[in-house]
Amino acid sequence: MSGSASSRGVWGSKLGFILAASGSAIGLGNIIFFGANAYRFGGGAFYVPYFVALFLLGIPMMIVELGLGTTQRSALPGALHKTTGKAGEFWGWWSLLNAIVIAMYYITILAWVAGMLIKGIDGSLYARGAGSVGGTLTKVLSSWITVILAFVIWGLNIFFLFRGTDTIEKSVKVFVPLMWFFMAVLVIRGLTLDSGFQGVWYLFTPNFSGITEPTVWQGAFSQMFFSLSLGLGTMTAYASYLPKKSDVVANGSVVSFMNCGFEFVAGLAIFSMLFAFTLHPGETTGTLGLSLYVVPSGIAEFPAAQTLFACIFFFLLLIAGLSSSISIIESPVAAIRDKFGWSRRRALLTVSAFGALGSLLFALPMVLEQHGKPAQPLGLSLLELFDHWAFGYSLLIVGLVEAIAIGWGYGITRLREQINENARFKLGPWFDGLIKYVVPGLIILVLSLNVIKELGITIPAVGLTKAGFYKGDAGTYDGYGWMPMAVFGIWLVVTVVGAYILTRSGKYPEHDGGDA
Amino acid sequence: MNLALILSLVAASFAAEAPAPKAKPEPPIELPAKLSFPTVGKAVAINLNGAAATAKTLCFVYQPDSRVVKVQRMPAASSLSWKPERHGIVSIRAMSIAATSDSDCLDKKKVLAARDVSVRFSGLPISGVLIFLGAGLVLFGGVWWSMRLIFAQTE
Repeated sequence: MSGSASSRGVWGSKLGFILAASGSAIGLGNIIFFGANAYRFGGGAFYVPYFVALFLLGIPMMIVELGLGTTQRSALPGALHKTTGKAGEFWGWWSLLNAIVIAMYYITILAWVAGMLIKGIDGSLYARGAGSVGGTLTKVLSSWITVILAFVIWGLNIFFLFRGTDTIEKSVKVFVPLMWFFMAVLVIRGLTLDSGFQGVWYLFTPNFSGITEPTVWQGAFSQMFFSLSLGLGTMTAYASYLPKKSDVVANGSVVSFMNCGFEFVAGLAIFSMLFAFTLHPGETTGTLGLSLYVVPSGIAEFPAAQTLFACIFFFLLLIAGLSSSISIIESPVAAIRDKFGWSRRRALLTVSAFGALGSLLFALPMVLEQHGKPAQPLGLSLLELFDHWAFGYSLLIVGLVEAIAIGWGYGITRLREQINENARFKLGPWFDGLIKYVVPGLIILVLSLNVIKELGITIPAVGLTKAGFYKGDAGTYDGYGWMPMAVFGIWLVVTVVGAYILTRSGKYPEHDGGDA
Repeated sequence: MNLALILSLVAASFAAEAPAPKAKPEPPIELPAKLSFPTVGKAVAINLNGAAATAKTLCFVYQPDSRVVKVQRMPAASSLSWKPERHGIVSIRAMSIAATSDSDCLDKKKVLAARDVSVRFSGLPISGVLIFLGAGLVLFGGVWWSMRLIFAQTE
């Protein structure tokens, strides 16, 4: 019975699914990442490739992923098994193993965010004004407390996932409205700063000089994929708990628009602050640097209630991260239950045990090494490298496989007709063209540009100037020169072999499978 | 996710533990004290002191560390007047070399002193307002449209 709707779980309401899926899509990256990309690629001009990416790539792939879950009533590996056979199932498991790797370091980051929140609450964050943010962050990163916090956050995830859709729905009904409320507070504070609105105009006023660069388009397409959490299996898992008669087109659209709407609002808060305090997201400053250092430094310059606003900001990051992490963990849990018939408790505790140990891999070196080699934090270097491969490549590769497998293997017309049965806005044949040609073409273009960079080929004409096998921050690896290649090898072998073993083991209870 | 900032910060924070000097020195690149934000097209007086006093060129890098950087440069002097050409974040850099090209100004190894300022628009930027309204309309209009479809559906 493991595959039946009653034992798998079902969302209690339409709103419950919308909140869960949008909470999954809106994560740490949405709060900062859009604004940072818009800054790098020409402000309002970035909206041109961004909207093209939303309508050509984001919403169509969201509909495919939700459609797979709703029609096949399985998490990603099971859904791909039923539609395209074992070959498709392999990629589903590969996606979920990458999701577990991502959960490992994502929860370590949440532990650091929680550590900063605690420093805000105890008043030490701004003990010496903005200048103490860096020192506080160092203490948080190197503190044993954050190792404990990583376990606490894994515990919270288990708590929110313990009863499946029931507890997920209850948690997101609190988290998602709170996220919008706290973001609204930050927007109001940002806009009421001296010249806060100038930051908004700065964000949206277009500079079209960069729009012809392929790397700008590559940035927009990648951003859309990562921002909507496509290729991670989370949306398919969540959609598998929807009633079969759900309107997939409307659900896919609302989740995509809400996610991008949140990025839009977050851009107002972040840019008003960056302009007012003359901070800029540098070329090399990632989400983590902006979240944990640049924005808190800006908040330190507020005329009053700096600590309160810093706590609101970190709390916002924490709940946004939690609502995403529960979905990342739910996908492998659902997939294991679908195939191996395990109880929810067993699947959840097994995935969480592996995940928590993995989080130690990123958190512990920061504590052990900090005092001896402050300039070479192994934990951050590992995080950066695993993120590059597990997040930067796997999502796009899985997206490409989905588009090809469904577009050409299962037949996008067949899936579209199933989706249209319950959709008020019917998808036309143009949708088939998007999934069969446009989406794979765009993803292949983005992946090709990434691989060209990785191979060390420099093409200044298209903006490819930083070339070579990815090593992260070059100055980081004194004494660990082997690490970038080793991480790549470990990531590839573990995820590929793991996916192969999971594909070959067990059998789907209600669908004997066979290759489609 | 590039973590360069955090990595450098971890190292730098140890140096930050040193006690701060008691007397506040003159900033190397000094703008009028009462001026919060320069405005596009309005001249601003700049004084170069200390490390910046020996600069050969003063570079103004608009939207630094982005793919749409624009550079304005002028020969350095102890006092000079700068008229911002564009809005946004500007990195004012006192360069040790006589910069003859934009790329000279982007070479951070040749920077003696630097200061970032935010430059205000001279009026309301119509294109920015239109894109702001248009993007908001598409995104939140999309939420409204799809919510209507979902909740109009009969169970």
